[in-house]
Order: sequence, then C-alpha cells, then structure tokens
Amino acid sequence: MTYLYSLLVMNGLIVFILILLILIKRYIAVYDDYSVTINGDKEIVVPGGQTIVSSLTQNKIFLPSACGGKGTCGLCQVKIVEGLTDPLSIEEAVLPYKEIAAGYRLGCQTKVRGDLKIEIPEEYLSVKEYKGLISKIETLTHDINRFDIDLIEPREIEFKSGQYVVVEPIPGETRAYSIASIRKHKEKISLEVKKIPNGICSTYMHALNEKDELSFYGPYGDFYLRKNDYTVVCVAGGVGLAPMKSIIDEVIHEYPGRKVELYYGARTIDDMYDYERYISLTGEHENFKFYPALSEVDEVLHHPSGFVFDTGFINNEIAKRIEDGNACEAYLCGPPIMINFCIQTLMDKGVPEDRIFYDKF
Amino acid sequence: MKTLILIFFASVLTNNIALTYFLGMCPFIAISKNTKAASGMGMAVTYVMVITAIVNYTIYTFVLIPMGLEYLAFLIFIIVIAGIVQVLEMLVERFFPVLYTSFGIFLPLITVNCAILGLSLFMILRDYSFLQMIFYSLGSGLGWWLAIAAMAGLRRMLMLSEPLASLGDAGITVILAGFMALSFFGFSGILPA
Repeated sequence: MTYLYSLLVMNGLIVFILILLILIKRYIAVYDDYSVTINGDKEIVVPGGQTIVSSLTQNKIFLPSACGGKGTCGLCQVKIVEGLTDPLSIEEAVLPYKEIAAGYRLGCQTKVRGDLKIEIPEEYLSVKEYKGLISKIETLTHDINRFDIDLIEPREIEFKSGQYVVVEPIPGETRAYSIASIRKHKEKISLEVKKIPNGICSTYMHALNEKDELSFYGPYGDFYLRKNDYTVVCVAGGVGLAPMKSIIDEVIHEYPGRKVELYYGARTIDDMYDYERYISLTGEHENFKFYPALSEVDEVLHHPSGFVFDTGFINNEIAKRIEDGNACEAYLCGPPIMINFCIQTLMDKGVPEDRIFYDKF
Repeated sequence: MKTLILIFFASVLTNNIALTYFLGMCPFIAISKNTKAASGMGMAVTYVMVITAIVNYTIYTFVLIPMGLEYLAFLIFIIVIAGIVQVLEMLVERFFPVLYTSFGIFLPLITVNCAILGLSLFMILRDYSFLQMIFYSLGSGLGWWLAIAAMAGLRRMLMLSEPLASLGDAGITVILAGFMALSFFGFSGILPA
C-alpha cells in the first residue's frame, strides 16, 4: 500500500508542477506585441518576451551567429537606439565596455520588452534563407569536398566576391562556409568543405549525397573585394582557397590592368587542389601570378608544365615575392596561425594595415 | 523569540551554509568573479531558499508525515526545487523585468545548487517549527549572499596581488574560502553556548 502511496504522491506532484507551468506559460507569462524599427525605416510587429534574434528571424531577417544563440561569439550584436535596457552579465562579458555604453547589445540575449528602435548593418537586410539542390559533389583532396548547389528558392543569389553563407544542420549549430564560385553565376553556388574529425557540421556536409537538399543563409561578411586599383594579393591556406576563386575571377574580368597574385600554402601536394586551374590561368592572363608553397615537403617540386612549387611556409613566399607593399591590397583566408604570420610579413613589406582583410577559421 | 533570533544569527554567521558546510560551491567559485554578478546570485539564492523551504516544509508536514512517506523527502524536494525555479523564472521575467536583468539569468543555475537542497534537508533533520524554519531559511540565504559577496570583494583585491600561478583561478579561491571559514569561526563568541 505504501508503494502505491509513494507512486501517487510522486506522480501527483510532478503532474501538478507541469500543469502549473503550462498554465503560467499560457495565461500569465504572455506579452503584448511590440514594434521593432530597423535602421529607421523598416518596422515589424513582434510578440514580446522573445529575443531580438528570434523575432527578426520570424520576419526573415537573419543575423549571423557562430555560437547558435549562446551569447559567446558576439556576431549578432545590434545597436539599440531606443528602448535600451541594462546589459546582462553575459553581454558584459562578451562586448567591450565602450560598445555597451554606446548601446550595443547581443541580439540573442536581449529580449523584446517594449517598442524598440535598432540598427543593424544594412547588408543583413539582404540576407535571405536559400534552398538548394546539390547537383555535384567533387572530391578535391582526401578531406576536402566541393559541393555544387543549384538554387531552388529563391532562384538567384547576389553576393560580393569573398563573402560566406551559413549552414545550420541542427538548430543552434551553425557554421560558415565561403562561397567558392564565381559571382556571375547567380543561379548556383559552390561550397568547399574540409572534413574536421568529430566536427558536427563538416561531418553532416560530407554525409550528403547528390540530389540532396541543403538550406543556408547568406551572404554575410565584410571580407570581399574592394573597388580600387591596388594589386590584389590573395593568401590562401588549405581550404581557404575557396573565396579566392571568385575574387580572382572578378579582378581578371572586371578590372582590366589590375594585377592579382595568389599565394597558396598547404602541407603537401596532396592537400592542394585546383592548382592546375591556376597554373593554366597564369598562361592565359599576364596580370595573374600564382605562387604555391608546401610546408611539409623538403624538395622544391616541379610540375610537368614547368611550374615550381616552393617549400616552406607561405609567409616566406610572400616575403620573397612582394616588392612594393604600398601598392598592394591583401586578402587572407586560412587557419589563424597562418593569418597572423602573414599579416606580420605583409606589414613588414609595407602593406598598410587598413588594406589587409582576412577571414580566420 | 530568543530562539528565533539565535537561529537567524547562527545561520548567517556561525553556521554559514557556504563556509561551514561548504554547500553551493560551484556558483560560489564560478560567479564570484565580479561583485555585481555575485550579488545577483546571492539575491536569487536567498529568494529561492525561502520560497522552496516554505513549500517543502508544507509538503513534508501535511503530506509526507501523515502518509508515512518521509523517505521520499529527498526526491520530492529535488522536484519541488526544480519546479519552483522554473515558475519563479517565468514570473520574475514577466512582472519584474528589472529584477530579471539583475538576477533572473542566474535562476536556472539554482536548480542544481546543493545549498538549497541542503537547507531543506537540515530543516527537517532539526525538527524546526514553521517560524523557526522561516528564520533559518532567510538566515541561510543571507549568509550565503554575505559569503559570495565577500568572496567577490576578496577576488577583486586578488587582481592587485600575485598569487602562485600554479594555484590557478579556482585553487586560490578555495584557499580564500578556507581562510574565510576560519575567520567566521570568530563569530562563535557572539552566541551563548
């Protein structure tokens, strides 16, 4: 009998608490609708009590996020012009003091509790959710695959050379991949994905098959080709070659006379891909130069075409080749340690700091 | 009345739940890095302690004892604490947004704070009456608050000194907590034996 009682009491209590929670959520913890004005012109009405990111997402405005709303990456920051509340401890930990004082808050933490006026970078307003069909999967190296994706909905994408899109295989797990296709082809994009051991998103991507559907958000990023006449120095490490394809193509075809150089570093020749394409490109365009370097190879490698693959790290190659740094503009994409070394080398060569753009991953 | 005051001061100072029993150590070490957050956490703990103690006391006295189910106390207390924290979080967020920004984000952490469960278990172990229980829970909450706020203050001073690097961040904090516990022993003189 006591067993029955104990079961009854335990379950009764749990059911009671659950009912209480549901009732509170349903009838007490309800919020009014509030209006959120974005950049002074676009106004949306959202139910209160949810975060800025989720209210914007419901209205098809996508803020970037690398941490999935946990409040650690700081990418989703918005400037609150009206309706500012005190910062939360999480925000104080992520955002610098000056930005908090200027009204910046994390979109994934700050909730809508009144009418708001916010400012977000204008480019996020053009960010959309895209659906595509994987038309071709190409194995580039032992751990890098290229995915060609035909867009289904919307059918076209506008992006600047070098920007990235975000893939979200599981809600809350987001990863960014550079667009590895040419800007002129608006109806399809390519992504190049390196398989990371135990990586959630890269494992998901590598498990996809041709004819599978893939959704992504984009385009994001201020890593894109600037309009001027400086010599473009592209520095790529491993799969960091992805955004360079579009940048190089844009320079060659839209800026006659502008020079572009590609420094491409990898461990061995087996970790490199697409190099044959760039070797033949040097023959076709005199303004394009290609300098590959292999860091874990002891002897200089000679390609059948007569092309030379140097040994050593890519920053040594930069130090050797660049003559007038002040006439250059640099675009770097690769692992953080490579980027840090290359920035140092570029600055030693006289490239101004504000003309060095990079994408670390 | 005298016993009530004695219980209150004993739970704040001489039998401080953080420094004598070393309960609730995870937030005590993790959130005492800055004084504002520490104070918010202390406030949230006090608040939850009093409310869960009242609910747990009521359930224990009017449901578990009459039915002879005292052995379920442990499980029931955990469920009640988890449920109450959820309810409180929603209510505070809805009706006191300002309060929510100061301590609401710490509320979910309290679900697994052993100081809260410890308090409910001590309370039935010591056979407190309803009023005694109120004073005991309030005292323990304030005592925990006092301890974490003092610790946050000490850790701010730590920035100016150079403790051994090998002690790390948490190591030196535990040593500090030990010193604080020793100094709190000094309070035992203010209570009659």
